[in-house]
Amino acid sequence: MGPNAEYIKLIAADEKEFFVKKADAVEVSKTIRRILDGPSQCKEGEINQIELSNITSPTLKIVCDFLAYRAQVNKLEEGEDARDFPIRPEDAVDVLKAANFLDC
Amino acid sequence: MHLHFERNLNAKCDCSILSLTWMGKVPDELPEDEGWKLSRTNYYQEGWLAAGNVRGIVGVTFTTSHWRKNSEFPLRTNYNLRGHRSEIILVKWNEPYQKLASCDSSGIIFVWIKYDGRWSIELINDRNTPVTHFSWSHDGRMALICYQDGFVLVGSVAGQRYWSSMLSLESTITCGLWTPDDQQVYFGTTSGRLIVMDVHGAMVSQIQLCQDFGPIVSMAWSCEKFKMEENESDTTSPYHNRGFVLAVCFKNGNILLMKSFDDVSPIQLQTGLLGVCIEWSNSRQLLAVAGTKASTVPSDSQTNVLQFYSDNGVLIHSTAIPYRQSNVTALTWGHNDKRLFIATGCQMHIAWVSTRIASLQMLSGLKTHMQLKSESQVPALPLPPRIRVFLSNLFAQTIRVSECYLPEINQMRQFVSRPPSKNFRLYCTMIRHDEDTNLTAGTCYTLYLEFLGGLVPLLKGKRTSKIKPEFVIFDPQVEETELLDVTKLRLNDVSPNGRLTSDSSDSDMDDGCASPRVQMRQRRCRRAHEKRDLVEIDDLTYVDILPEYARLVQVTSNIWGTKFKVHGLAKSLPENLGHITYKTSLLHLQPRQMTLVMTELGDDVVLGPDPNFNPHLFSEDEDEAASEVDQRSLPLTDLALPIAPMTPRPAGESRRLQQQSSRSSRPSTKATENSASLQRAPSSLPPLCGGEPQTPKHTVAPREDLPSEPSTSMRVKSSIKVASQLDEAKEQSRTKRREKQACSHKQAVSSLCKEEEAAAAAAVAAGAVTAPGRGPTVVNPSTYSILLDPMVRSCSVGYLDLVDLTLNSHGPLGDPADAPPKRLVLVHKKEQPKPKLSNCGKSKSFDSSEIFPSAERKKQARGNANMTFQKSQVTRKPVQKKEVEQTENKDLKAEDHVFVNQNDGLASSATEHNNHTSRLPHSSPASPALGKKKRNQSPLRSFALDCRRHLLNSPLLSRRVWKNRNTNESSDDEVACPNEEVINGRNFRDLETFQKAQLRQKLRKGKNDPPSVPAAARHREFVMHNKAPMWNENSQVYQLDFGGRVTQESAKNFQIEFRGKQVMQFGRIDGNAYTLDFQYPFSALQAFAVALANVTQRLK
Repeated sequence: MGPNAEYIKLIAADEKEFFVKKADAVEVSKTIRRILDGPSQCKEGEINQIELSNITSPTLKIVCDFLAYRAQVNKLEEGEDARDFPIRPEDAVDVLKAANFLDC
Repeated sequence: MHLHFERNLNAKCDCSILSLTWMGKVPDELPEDEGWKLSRTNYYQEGWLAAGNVRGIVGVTFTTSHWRKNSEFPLRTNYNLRGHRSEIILVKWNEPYQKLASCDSSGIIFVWIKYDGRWSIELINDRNTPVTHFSWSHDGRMALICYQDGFVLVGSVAGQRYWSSMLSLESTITCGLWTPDDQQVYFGTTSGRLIVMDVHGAMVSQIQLCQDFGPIVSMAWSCEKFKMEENESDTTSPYHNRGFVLAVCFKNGNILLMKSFDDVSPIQLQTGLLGVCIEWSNSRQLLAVAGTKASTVPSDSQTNVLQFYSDNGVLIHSTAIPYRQSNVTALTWGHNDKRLFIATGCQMHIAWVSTRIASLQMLSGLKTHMQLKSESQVPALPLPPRIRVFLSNLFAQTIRVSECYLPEINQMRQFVSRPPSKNFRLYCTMIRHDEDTNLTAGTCYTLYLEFLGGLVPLLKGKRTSKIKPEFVIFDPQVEETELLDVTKLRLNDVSPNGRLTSDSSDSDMDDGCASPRVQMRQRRCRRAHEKRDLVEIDDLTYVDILPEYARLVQVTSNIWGTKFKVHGLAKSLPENLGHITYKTSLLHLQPRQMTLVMTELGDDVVLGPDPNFNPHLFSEDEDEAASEVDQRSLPLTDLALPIAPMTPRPAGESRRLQQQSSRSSRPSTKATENSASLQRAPSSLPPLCGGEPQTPKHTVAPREDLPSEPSTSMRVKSSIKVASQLDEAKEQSRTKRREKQACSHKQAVSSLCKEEEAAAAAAVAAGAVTAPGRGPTVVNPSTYSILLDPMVRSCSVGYLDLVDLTLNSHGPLGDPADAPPKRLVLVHKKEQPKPKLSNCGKSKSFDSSEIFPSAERKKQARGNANMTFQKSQVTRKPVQKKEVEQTENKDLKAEDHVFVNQNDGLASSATEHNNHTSRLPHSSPASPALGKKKRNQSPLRSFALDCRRHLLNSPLLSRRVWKNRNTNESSDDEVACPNEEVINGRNFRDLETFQKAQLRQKLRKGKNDPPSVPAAARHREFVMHNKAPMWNENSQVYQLDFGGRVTQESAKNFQIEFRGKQVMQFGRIDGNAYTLDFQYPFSALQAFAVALANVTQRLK
């Protein structure tokens, strides 16, 4: 853990922790980018962990999956296309809230 | 890339769509010199989708990619273009020239052009040979037509033939297209050959493509459909086609991507689909391919698949189209590649396409959206507002027409029982089917909303009596469970016919010759089947077979079929919806005259039974009708009157006076007589305003009366001005000069002997008097021309005689609609306001002379007139009370200025115009200046108007007065026009107006539903008449302009006017099909009821 670590830690409301690649998270989620790269250099940027107290762990897991999915899709050759990221209907509303907050 | 299908199951036609084409909507403003400067991102947010279907109708429907719900709509969002007599195989926009080409299976090509808000056929091409393909060149200037017999033709967009050639081939040309630079044309044949010719018709090459692929079905270049930017067309470069890819689609589903016709190594795509439709996106990156998955296992449902390929042949995306009942029949891109329209039979699918990868927000939002049944559930979700907005936006419909055009299925009842919102018009078709179903006997009529080239059923009506032309209209909305039952019931009835659902096009092949009855049955069967399928998918679709459970409205009639009442049966409707009275002439030599009294339906309508309304009570004699109703309603009125009204004039006296005043040529110099003539009106009003049968006196020979009516209005108005002006003592000193001017003016006019003209002249002068005091700089040049417009329309007060009269009076005086010369005058006027001002001192004599318009004949001037004026003041006072004299006439500014302008040098023609314009001084909300003034109107004015109205209830005048009232009550109201009267139970400004209204009601004969009954007083009634047709000498027919919506002559065709604007039209388009267009104040129910009453044969 540190400012230059490859992974960042996302902490859900129920204190479960998720590690995602910093590069992916910053690229996909504008909110995470702002937190980590913001000019204010808040403490999240220092310790590379973000507490997302408004997102529960099941939802945050889906978000983390999406971050990985997007990273994968971005590596595809031009012309190739990936299937849409699957979301279960019962998760949709929670994911929508989280995605809106994280701007991804 | 990301794609999802819009949830819009109502985006469907009632028959198979065979071709689609989309074009961006250009702004409504006139193009600049070199045409519209289009930016694809901006202008392509809105567009027009054209759809050709098997019934030979081209639908042109507005589409939008705006997320905003309240974005502006064009006034008309759907056109169903009729003209073809067989199924339409191809529709193609020509975007640079804003034209539409449509080809039918018989080989007839129409080129449509939109002009003045209507689409009409500009060119017809018919070679008596079926057309296989048609395409516009990319600059829009040329068209290429391929015929089945090998004949190919290149012509200009204007219809001129450039060259044609008969290609002797053993195979048929199936498609032809232009190269991106428009220098060559390519043809594909059934034998898989590609034929290349240059732009002048010289053969360039013939290439046999893969022989085992079979016939070529279509071809497409990966260039933009049209070159909208001029500088793009660098036609000199021989390599211009470089970079574009030609997709050649074969019948077996294989596609070749070729860089040019001699590409030796084309990319081969095996789509695995049949019945493939292809189109490149404008960005030339994506080839959309839609077809049906070739399945080895025979099953009754197919899978329709949509695929996207890049220009180097990579399959980018593939998705199933969520509809299995029919093959893909057409496909087109729209909205700058943001939308893809796909037709599968009658169903339209709209895909939202994005080349970017969907965000998690979008994906989860869509998932949420899919779980919601309707947008109304969005606010209930535990989400922050911004996410709710986002979710709501996902409900946005591309084919949105307008909110008020297409009803939600669960709001059908509400939709049909409310008028469309202001200015929106519903375009409908009504079809008679004699043998409707085996369930019911009796002639049925169905009202359909025209949409997407098809018809959406709205209402069903059935004749209930064999003797009398009486109908019931059924409730289109039933509870969901009932709906399913009904559907199943019907399905059982139809299934023995054994028609299959999927391939609906075959049954309509013979559309042109099959009897309409058969067609109807076929449609019904097909619809029933489709209905079943749809019900399985989603019950949010329209009930294609309207239920006959609940009765909503009853149309009752007298035995002769000349009087009808529209009777609301449901609790949600007022009992009295209106009534219709026909006046047919002997032997039907004259056009029908009809009078409609319609109850305004709105959310504030008081429901429940109306004690005065008896749907079965009809007076048998037209002349007696008024008095009979009068007797019925008068006592009630009396009971309801809380305040003793002023004594009405005895009817006998009024009538006598009316006769006097109606002798138009008679010089009326006595004040008493004149003032009496002002009061005659109440007696003459009832037959017209009450909506009961016209008395013959008014309908048959109104010519006698009419001249005096406008003049009466002139007189009173001017009198009011006089009164106010008199209060300005300073102006008295200028009286003499003003007088002189007035006299000289009148002499100029005196060649026109009609009283009304003289009255108009007086009004002109009066305007001149009052206007300069406020400074003439306020004049709005646009005012005048706007005012003239309703003037022309005012010809159509509903009586032929009147039309003749007004036309005749227009004739010798030049074209009344010519505003420019007057505008010049206007400028001139502005330059010298001073002299005018000095002239404008109040002149008693002049004012009196306007009260006695024929005074100028005597050429006697001031003294006499002066005296008469005084008299008229005296006589008026008791009736109008003192306020009249204090009435400010500032609110009359606008019209006054108009008068000034005309007065200044336009002599007689101007005065003639005045006569008409003055009826409609406030009818032009289009002019901002006018609108502002209207808002400043004082209660005093309303009172004054009311007085006038009360005193001068002649048919013409009342209309005018109502219009003024209207502007008082709501300045934002739509165009206020003269052609109606209103009965309004509320909105009284003060006690006086209330009293007047009460009195008016009491005096009104033939009023069926007295608003003075408090419970029933909450809604307004409008009296309307049909527009009198013009007699065309050349063709010996009566004519009306139906805007291309009516194709057959019929005595039943009619138009209804309201406030000078045509608000309803009905006309025959086929043996048993009619178009019915209507807008406020008609609700669909009322319009349908009027139409039903109108289609019946009258005995009398």
